[in-house]
Amino acid sequence: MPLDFNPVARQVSGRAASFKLIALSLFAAFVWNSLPWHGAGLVYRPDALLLVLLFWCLHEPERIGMGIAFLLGLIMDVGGSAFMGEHALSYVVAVYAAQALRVRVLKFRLHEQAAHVLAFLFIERMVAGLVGLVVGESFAGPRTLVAPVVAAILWMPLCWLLFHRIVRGERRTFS
Amino acid sequence: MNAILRDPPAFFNRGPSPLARLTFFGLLAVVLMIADHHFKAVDSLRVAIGAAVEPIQRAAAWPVRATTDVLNYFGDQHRLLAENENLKRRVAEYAREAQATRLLRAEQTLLTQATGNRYAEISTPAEVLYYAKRAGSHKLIIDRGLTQGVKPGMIVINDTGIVGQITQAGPTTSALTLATAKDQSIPIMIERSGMRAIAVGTGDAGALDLPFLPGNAELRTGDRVVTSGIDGLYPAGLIVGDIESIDRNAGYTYPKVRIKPASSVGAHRLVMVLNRLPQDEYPTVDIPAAEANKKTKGRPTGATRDPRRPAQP
Repeated sequence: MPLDFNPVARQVSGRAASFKLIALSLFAAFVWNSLPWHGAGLVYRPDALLLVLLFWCLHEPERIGMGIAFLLGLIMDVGGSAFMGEHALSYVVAVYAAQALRVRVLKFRLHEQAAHVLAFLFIERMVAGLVGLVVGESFAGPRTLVAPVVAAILWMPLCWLLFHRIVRGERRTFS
Repeated sequence: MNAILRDPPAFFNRGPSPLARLTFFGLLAVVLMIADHHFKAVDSLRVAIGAAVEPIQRAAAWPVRATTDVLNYFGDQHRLLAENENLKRRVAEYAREAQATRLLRAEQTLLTQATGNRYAEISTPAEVLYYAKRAGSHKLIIDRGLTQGVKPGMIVINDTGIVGQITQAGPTTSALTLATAKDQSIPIMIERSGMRAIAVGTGDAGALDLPFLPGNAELRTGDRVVTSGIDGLYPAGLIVGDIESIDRNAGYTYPKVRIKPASSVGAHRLVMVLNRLPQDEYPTVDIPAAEANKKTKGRPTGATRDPRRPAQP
């Protein structure tokens, strides 16, 4: 049976993702962010951790929320040797936006969702940029808005991959 | 939707409202940032998280480094030959200086006995692991940390000159802020004229500023700029760079002076961390007291400067 990746269909089937899948996907995204990026690569690097975080905020709202976003932000701050709380703040704000629009966003199809996710990613960049200005780091310019676009394009493949995993995990458990 | 389908109706056990949570976490993040930025108060938290994160980061950096190493291994003969030639030439240059240094060192030993072991330099070689992952940040991560005796405030140099200063130290890695980072300042001296000033980072990797100098300051393009050692943090005589341009436009109150840093940012692979901090400095006149201070590791009176702050005399 071909899988229906329309989110409404998944909602109705009411499948829950396993803890292992959530943890593993977040970890993989963190490793992606931890690759030794620098220069232009760093500017255009999509923030995979935030993207996966937003995915789980939309699909597992009872388990993944602002608390996890805050913790992951702190980890990113240590990893990127930023000031403690910079990423934490921007992630929490982005996740808040995602939670506020969650029901609406999930009604759309994937490519339409990507546009909403782009807005959340922009919000995160803007908060991070403002914080950077306040703590006196040099402003990287409008180039910083490229990375969210790249990340938003990756929203569809990401959903496809993770839905697939969720459904497969279910089947293995119950059949 | 999920919640409704999977759980019993959760009208009452939802916890605080999203807005309340946003406020809570937002404030917490701001408090953390202030604590980190102004008071350096969350270093232990950073070290704790760092202990877990550093191995992952090292592992993630490994494949890229290994690939570079392999490519270098099979690298062209010409590059290696040129590099070898370059190194030989430099060794020859240094040989003369090394011989002169021997005499100076003997002289210095006599002096240091009088001033407490002020100029003893112990340094830790370190390798650059990767750049800090933040656009617009001028930080490098090196593979030495607290366990190797690297502490915030220490100065980092390489074979061409000053690279920067350690600003955060984790258990096995630390972050070094480049001298060219915005608002990073170094007390300098113009080698030719002996004029003292303060060089300030611009945020541009290829330039340092020399602000607030009088219009008639004794400067020429090409002047060698070295550290003056006045702040007690940067040792005197380390090469900062050369004056690249001087713009004495009458329209400005001060001339615009730009320094081209001696050590280029892209080329750092091996660096040296100078293991000394200002509290090890400040010699006392009384020799036995200085000895006692050294033994007890006590901080001599008057050394109230926070070693972790960047040099801003």
